[in-house]
Amino acid sequence: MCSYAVLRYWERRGFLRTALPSYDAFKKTFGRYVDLLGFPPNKLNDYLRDICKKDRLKVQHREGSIESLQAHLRNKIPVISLFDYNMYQRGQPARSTHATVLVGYTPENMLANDPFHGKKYPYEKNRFQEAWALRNNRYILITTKVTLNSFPTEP
Amino acid sequence: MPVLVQRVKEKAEEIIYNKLGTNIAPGEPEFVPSKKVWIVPLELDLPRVIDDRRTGNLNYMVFRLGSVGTLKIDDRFLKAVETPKRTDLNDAVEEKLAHIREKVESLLVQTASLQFARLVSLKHMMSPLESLVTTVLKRDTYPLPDKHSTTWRSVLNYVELLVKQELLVREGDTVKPAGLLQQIHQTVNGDINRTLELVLKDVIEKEYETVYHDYKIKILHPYVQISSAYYDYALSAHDLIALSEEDLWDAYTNQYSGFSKKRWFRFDNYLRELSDGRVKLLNEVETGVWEGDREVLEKLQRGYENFGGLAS
Repeated sequence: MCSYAVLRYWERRGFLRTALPSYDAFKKTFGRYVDLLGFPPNKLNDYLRDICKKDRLKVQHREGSIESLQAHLRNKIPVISLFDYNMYQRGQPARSTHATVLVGYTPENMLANDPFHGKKYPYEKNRFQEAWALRNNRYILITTKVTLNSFPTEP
Repeated sequence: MPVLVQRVKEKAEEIIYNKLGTNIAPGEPEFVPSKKVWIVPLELDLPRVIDDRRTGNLNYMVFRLGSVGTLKIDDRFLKAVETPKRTDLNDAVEEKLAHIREKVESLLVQTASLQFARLVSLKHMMSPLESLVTTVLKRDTYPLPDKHSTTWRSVLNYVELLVKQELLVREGDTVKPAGLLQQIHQTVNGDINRTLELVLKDVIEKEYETVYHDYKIKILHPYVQISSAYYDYALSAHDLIALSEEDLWDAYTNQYSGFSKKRWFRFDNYLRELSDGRVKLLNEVETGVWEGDREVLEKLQRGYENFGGLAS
């Protein structure tokens, strides 16, 4: 869902040559196990390559800091962050990892288009950092060749 | 944590990230000296989000399903020597979920047997049983029909069931009300309708599987499934949540193998019966918003804890 949201973002800005399928069709390419097992993030490149045949997508898996996330957002590049949602909401670690699309920030919050909460959901920064650290401060960038020429990706 | 164990865990995390899925994490690695491999359990938490229409809150919880497979990592080079397939992991998760679902269903059948006994559709389907009980109570004896006759086979099946339940006793070619049936009848001051409900309650509570599998009476199943889907969510939320009709439908179809037009066609009627004044397993608290019964939930919670409820 997060990767679809990012691709839609690029599509709306004219950076994607492929016409995106419906969300249901998109989800099908991830196979039927995604509902119970989640998806293996490192396979994202393979899945997306199949969907966006006309575009050269670049999927980067990184580890960073809040500052690096904010730098991407200032450059108008949405970021998929991976964190422990149970830790964020209830202060208890869980084995499952939640993905959300960060789209902005304020001094107190990271703003996310979130699969659970919808648009611009504010994740309080301190708690987010704690939950994010449990997943090694990992995040994913999905960009296209055209995007890379338009925006710098390095923070 | 010893450094090597930490490195094994990190390797397992890398494999999970690369090949398996975001709901999985490594458990504690165990070293097998004879094979020089580390066995790492793959533990899975299944996230669930419930939109509670009563409080307006999104309830998030995880089902801790425990180990769903194992990874084997070589001791010398820390390379994976055996990685399970996603299809096998998925099967293991489905099996665990089915086990939980069966437990919740079974608890619900035990807890709410009287409410199920009051369902009009069930009474209709089990009318041979009702006729049998009514007759033996009225005439004190009932001559058994010819066992070779197809027409009477269902009556004979019910005779067998009620004898097993010690509600009837056989005497030669007749059956009579047993002490237990007479006692039930007296407890409700000879009210035949209430006696029949209590007999049905007893049958549902103790012989639900027999009625379903042997007598092929499946009418009760969707009612159990729909209410079970609701109470499964309420149990995981630890609260009497209010679900929208769509969310309840989703819970029902997700837990019980998908959409079917026939089910959808009957869904409104199932809900109507489940919310009937004398059943009240579900209540429509506002248009299209459904809430369960507190007493049923509390009883279920006690039973759920006993079999080791998994949500947190």
